[in-house]
Amino acid sequence: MTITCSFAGVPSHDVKDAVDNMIAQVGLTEKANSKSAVLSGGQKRKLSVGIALIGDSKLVFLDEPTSGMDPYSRRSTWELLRQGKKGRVLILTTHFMDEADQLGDRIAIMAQGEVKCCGTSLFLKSRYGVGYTMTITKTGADRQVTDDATANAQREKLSHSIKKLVSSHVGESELLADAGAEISFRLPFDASSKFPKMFREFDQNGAEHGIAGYGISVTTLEEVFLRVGRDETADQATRHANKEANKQRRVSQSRNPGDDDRTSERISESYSVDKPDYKTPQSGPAGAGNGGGVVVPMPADNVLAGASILTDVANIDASFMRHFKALLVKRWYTTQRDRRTLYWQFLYPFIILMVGLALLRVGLTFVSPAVSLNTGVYNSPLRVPFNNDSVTSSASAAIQFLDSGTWAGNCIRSPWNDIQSLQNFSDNLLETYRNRSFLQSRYGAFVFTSANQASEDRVNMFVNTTAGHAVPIFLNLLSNMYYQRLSNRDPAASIVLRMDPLPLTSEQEALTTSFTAVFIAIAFAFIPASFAGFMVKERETKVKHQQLISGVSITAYWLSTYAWDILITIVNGIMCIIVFYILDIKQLTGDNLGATIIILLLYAFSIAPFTYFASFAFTSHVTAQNVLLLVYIMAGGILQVVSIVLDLISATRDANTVLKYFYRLMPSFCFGEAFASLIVRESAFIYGTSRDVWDFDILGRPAIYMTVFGALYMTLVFLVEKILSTPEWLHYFSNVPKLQIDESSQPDDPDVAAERQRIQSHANGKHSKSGLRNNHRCSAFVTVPLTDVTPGSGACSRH
Amino acid sequence: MIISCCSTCYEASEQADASLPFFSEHDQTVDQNSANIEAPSADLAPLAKVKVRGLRKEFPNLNPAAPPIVAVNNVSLDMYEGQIFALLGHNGAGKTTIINILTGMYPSSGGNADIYGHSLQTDLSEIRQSLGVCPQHNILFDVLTVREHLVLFAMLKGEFLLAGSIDDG
Repeated sequence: MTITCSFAGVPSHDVKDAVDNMIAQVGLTEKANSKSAVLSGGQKRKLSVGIALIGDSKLVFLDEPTSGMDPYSRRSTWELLRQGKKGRVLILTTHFMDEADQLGDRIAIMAQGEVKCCGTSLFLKSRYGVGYTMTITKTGADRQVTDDATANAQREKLSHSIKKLVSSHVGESELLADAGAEISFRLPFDASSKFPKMFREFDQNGAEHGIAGYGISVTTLEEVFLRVGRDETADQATRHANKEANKQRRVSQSRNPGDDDRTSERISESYSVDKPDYKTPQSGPAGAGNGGGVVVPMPADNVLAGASILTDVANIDASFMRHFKALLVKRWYTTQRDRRTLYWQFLYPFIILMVGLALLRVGLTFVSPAVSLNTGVYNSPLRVPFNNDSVTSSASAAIQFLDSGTWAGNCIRSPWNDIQSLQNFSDNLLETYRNRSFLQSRYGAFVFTSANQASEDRVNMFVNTTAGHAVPIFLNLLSNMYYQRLSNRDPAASIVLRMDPLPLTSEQEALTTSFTAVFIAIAFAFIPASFAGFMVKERETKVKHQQLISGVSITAYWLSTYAWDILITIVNGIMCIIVFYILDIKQLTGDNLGATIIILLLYAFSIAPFTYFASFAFTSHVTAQNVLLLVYIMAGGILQVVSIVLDLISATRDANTVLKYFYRLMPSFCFGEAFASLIVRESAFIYGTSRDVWDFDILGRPAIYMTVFGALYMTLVFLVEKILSTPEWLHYFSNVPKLQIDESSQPDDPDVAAERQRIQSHANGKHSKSGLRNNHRCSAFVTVPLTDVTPGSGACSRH
Repeated sequence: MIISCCSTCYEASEQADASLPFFSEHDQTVDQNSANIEAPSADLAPLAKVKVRGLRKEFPNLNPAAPPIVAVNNVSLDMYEGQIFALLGHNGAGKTTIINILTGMYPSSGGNADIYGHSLQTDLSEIRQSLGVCPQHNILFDVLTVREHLVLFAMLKGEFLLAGSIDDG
């Protein structure tokens, strides 16, 4: 896989070398081009270690770097860390005591949030360790034991002899265990000088005392750790680290008597190795002399030297562009790799736009065909309920007409006899249409009645109102009946009724086309929603924090994000314009193309900051993406339709004018509104007259809103970040405890009190209105109880 | 060394002496553990580039009336350049909290740290220019490769030239 990234921050050969080197060092050469998602837990740890060490960071934190690594990888990581510690401060936490022992130049052990002890491995062992553990194997242990009692007696005898021998050499020895063939003693550190003589004795005369072999080991760090954990510090405090405890590594020797004597000499040599770097204080109480003995006072020059190593503030501007480019590369990679993002940012908007606008277009060009209105549009033959008897002359003429079959609609008379009243007839029709053998819907019926005078004709027409065009069709049928009668049943005499709809007026067409804006708004709802998903995911998975602690400023982070998101929106905008041309939406292309481009650019400018601002409200990226998608569809699409409808109704127009001021807080609404207004601007029906593109009611208002609120939301994003990163401010927005030192709880040292008074008098002189505590600018250097002021120096520390 | 402590004078003194230490030379807390802390040798002392003083972190208790939970209590440590400083402790002892405070993830509830001459309280962005962190739980981009991760962070952290073009794989 070759990815050439030439448009943005391109890694130089320096980076390539450093990266290749690091890949080899962490042992991921074979996985160099694998996505991190497919790495195993241990491989991920190696990559994390590599990320921490790469670059020239002066301060490196490794929080349990080797957890989950196999023993081989752990050892290679140790080697990496040993090499990596040069020229930097490397801080490591671990639960592996051997790792701390091997790697830690200095080790601090914490419990209940406090540092219980701190120093070199040897220092800790000498302070907390119980000394050395000597294990002796008794002779006869491997012999076949035939008699338990005899064996036990023999062992006890041996034990006694060994105990006597050991205590004769090291008086302070302590029996730890005496079980089976082994007996172990604890020997204090002080006694190390007596060991050579004792070991020589073991080697020479061991067999006589029943010593088959012996081994000695120094207290392990694990024992120290457990002791500290048990809080057994009280009894240890009396011991002082006033011994030259020089042994650097754990000594473990196991020897058999009778071998050459050099072993014990070697041990004794190793005890006297002096490592100047790790000298313990000459005496315990000496530490109190400089106020605790933790730290030797350092000259101010060192601070100067330290400051020059770190990047200067001036260089931060230079690093801004570097970070900016690197973050764009990151977005480039993540966008192209993440299929879901690609769908949301390109595929879904395109499909919605293309399908939605195409359907709208088809709806506009579709012209309803002309239709002949006769009963033929219903079932054929259609049974029409009718009088059975000729009550009047018109009735008999009508019956004749229908029975003759000359009517084009193919109707059959369905005779009814029991017509008492019209209401009864209607009810009967409703009740019985399912019962008849010719099960079919009824669309109309006729009842001829005569009123009081026989000469008066009355015809009643029943129509099923659920059928389209039923009224004109049955009325036409009735007209034909009468026309036949009047024309003396001339077969040529007929009335033909046709319906031929007119094409849409330009207003109607404009209104329908205005729904284009709804589809555009919905399509463009997906894009910013996916931005929110990305932002929240970066925060959720803490990679954002990882980038920030790698030196990326909030400004570089958000501006690179903003730049990328604008770019994505613009790419979609171009796609959108191409679709407009393909579907020939005249209101948005041609002379109005400039306006279309402006709307799309302003949308890109304003929707991204709105999204970032809104994204602070979410902790899950899935929720953020889906909720914001819904919000954008609501605002740009549904609210848009509601607003158009409310505007058309004169009763609600005024209310909608007010409501729209709130709707417009969302750039999505302005976006949809701008497009809708642009489309209908020539419609006199809505605006009275045709309006100019830049009229306040067309593009003017939405454009101003999007510009102003885009800038406002971006400012708010930076404000929120500032609040989140400023503890004093955050205090006002959440329940994070305020950063403060409780001064009342501890009495001041007299010199601290004097200093405070001096500062306050200074502050009052300069700022007569308020004391030091109340002055905001002074809060950075309030004297705090832990500050010990050197009398007379006038120095003051910053808190 | 005389440092004025009123705000206006302070601005001036910062200009004059950028190395304003955050602690006076004898800024130490004397506690019962002092004998359990090994003093460094004299030649090591100048390499103490990270000095943590009186660091404290409280988390609000679920019950607002109860006293806050103290995760880190008055921790003072010196860490030396060229050394590995191992921080041990049982789970919940406050190791990761200390790291989170020193990387600026949480604000501290008290105390400060001098990191290569920068104050943790006020110069966090400068400190972060030179910070490398391997968090306890892997924080990785799922879709980026091993190489791309390292390129990204090398670019974010290092002073590398950005000219030219390479094949990335």
